[in-house]
Amino acid sequence: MRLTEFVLGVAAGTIGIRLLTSREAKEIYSYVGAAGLHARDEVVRQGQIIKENCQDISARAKEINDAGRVREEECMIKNAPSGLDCKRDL
Amino acid sequence: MDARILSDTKGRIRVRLSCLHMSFRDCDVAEYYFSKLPGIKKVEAIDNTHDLIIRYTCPREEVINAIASYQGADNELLSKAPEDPGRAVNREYQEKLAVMVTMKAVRMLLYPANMRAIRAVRNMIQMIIRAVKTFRSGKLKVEVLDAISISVSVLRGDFRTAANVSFLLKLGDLIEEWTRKKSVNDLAKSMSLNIDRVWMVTGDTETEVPITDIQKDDVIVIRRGSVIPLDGMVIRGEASVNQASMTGEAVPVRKSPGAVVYAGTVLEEGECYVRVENPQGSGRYDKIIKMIEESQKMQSTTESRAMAMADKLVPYSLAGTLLTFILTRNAQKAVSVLMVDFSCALKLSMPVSVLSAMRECGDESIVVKGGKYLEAVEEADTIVFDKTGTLTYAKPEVAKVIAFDGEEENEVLRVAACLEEHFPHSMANAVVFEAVRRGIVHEEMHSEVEYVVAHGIASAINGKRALIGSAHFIFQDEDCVIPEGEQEKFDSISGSFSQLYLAVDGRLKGVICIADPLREEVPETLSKLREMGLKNLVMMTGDSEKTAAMIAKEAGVDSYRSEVLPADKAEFIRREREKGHKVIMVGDGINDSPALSEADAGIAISDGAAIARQTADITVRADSLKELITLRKVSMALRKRVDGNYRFVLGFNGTLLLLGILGFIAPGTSAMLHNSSTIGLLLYSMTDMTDH
Repeated sequence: MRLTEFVLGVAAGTIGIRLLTSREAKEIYSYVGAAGLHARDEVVRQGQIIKENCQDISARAKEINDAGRVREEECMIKNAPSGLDCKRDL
Repeated sequence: MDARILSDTKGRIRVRLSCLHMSFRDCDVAEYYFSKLPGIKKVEAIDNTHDLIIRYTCPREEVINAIASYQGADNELLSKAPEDPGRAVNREYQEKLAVMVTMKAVRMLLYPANMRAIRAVRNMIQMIIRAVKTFRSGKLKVEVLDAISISVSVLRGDFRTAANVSFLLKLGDLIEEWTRKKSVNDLAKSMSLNIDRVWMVTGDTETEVPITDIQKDDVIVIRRGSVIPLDGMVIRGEASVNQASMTGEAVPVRKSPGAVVYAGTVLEEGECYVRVENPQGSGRYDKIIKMIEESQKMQSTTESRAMAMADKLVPYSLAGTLLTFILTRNAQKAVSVLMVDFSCALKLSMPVSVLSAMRECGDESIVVKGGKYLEAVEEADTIVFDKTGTLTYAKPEVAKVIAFDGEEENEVLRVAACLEEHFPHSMANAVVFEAVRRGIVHEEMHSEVEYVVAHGIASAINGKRALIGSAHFIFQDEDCVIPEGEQEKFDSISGSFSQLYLAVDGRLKGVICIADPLREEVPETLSKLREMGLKNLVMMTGDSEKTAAMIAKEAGVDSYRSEVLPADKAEFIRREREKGHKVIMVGDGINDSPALSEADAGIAISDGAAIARQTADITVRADSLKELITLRKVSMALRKRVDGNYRFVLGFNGTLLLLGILGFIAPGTSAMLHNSSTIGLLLYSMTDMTDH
């Protein structure tokens, strides 16, 4: 049984190497590499999308707070309903 | 261009452009195109998501229309839009980060036990090599602590902790490198908009270009009142150049074709076309970045103190670890102590905070040349203002011309304009402009003009000595007299104007009243500055007592000095500093340079004389003094942030230490928490300090 392994070793050393470094093989590696790079770019892009969404949420949150503050102030000045519901919507 | 609205809030909109591909240049162009439109505050274009984020103050419709009508990059826009080299750098680090984090996740999920061990040992060896390299400096550095942490974990067989620690350390290194580069780039980007511009001549046309675009043998034109920006040879024109900044000679030197002119000297009269011998070197950004790195040498004392402290703490950390082990006989607790060090957080977050503050100022068109000047602004309790051009608009206008000695108004104006046209002072310009407006023409009727700094001009007309200048100059220095019988007329002139006195042959011939209105935002700005802790607001001017008094009252300063010489301004500041005050000086003219250098923080108005801007530590946009409030706000916020950083680092890490010693947390946890908090602090230091 040592023989099989020996033969396999010889095969790998001779034909194997040539297969692995052949032009076709290199094409395959290139595709794999391209897939890898593409995956990386996708991760970066998704990260950017998450960041932008967080910025959107932050902007909207600030807007909501500002609107709430304005309504409170209007209630304070007029001290009477002016069509606005002075109780905060809970 | 078609676009889809992704987020629509008040003053901010995010749209996804429907284009096939966006390159970095496409983004540069888009940002350039939209930022030129009025009402648009800030534009951000992102290449991989094709998104446009616009902050605006104009009606929303205008922004929508602008986006709809945007056609993309064409050749014209491509040539005009400034390049943002920061994009490539940012992308590089984003990619590294993405790969690092993804691979870590993969390893955590998929690695078999022996692979973990092998990898941990490999990391340990890397760290040890790095630590050994630092031994050359002779001091115990943070790298040694890191190497010991990892080695101890590996030797205890705690491969998970070892892996986490090495990951966090590498992540920290990456983020530190990135924040540093990004901070410098952001600062460079905002500064490139504030850079000096010169007039380049090509054929018959003159274009204003950034000074860094000038190559050797380009021709530039320099006009009256400007600082000569580059060394070169005059090829056309004649000029009178003050080379005091180079040679110390107070007398201007005549330059004609063939003469060599030097960078940094002031062109006082005339104009000349110069072929550049010595351009400033390639690359606008490289230049600015170099300047920023230089400014890093102007570290604030806060920064240097933090760095020194950080290095000193390393041996104590080691000692603490040993002590814990000896006292508790517990290796795990000792290792928990080891994982926590105060140094890196301090060392990294301080410079980043300062750079970030400088960048925030740059966003408001305030150029700060070093961290220590921001520190000076925060600590200052005294502020000295120049009057003309600083507190006032420096676009004075002639209000009245009062003739004496039988002369006619227009004649007085004619003579005055003839003398003043050689003089780059704003008051002189007012006189010349008024003469032009009244259609008064004059021929050169005088001989050589002698300019007496801050006083006036002396010359001769038809053999008779002609003088124009301040009252001090005319009446005290030159002993001129008021013609008989006109004393009352003289006394009745309202003090609310600045006055130029014209005398010929020893006799007063005319008084030109010039109105120099106060900037409208001054009283409000000064009271705000007072609110923010500036206790002594002083105005100093070479102008007459009467006008100074009026402006001082209107502005609301605490005290003022009139009829002051440039040297006196500097002297006053020096004396205040000796008393222990920290002084800010705000000025715009050539006369202010000595005072600007003397102050703890010298601020120049960006429209002012180029030489003032060179000497100044900070330059502020010309159209409003409100920038001073922003400057003070940012410097105070920086101080607050730095103090906050200190407290957080000491507090948080101190707590981790305690918990580790008491055995409440494992070394792995304390390492995670410590390193993550350090990274978090670093990222936080990069954010804006004030909200605007």
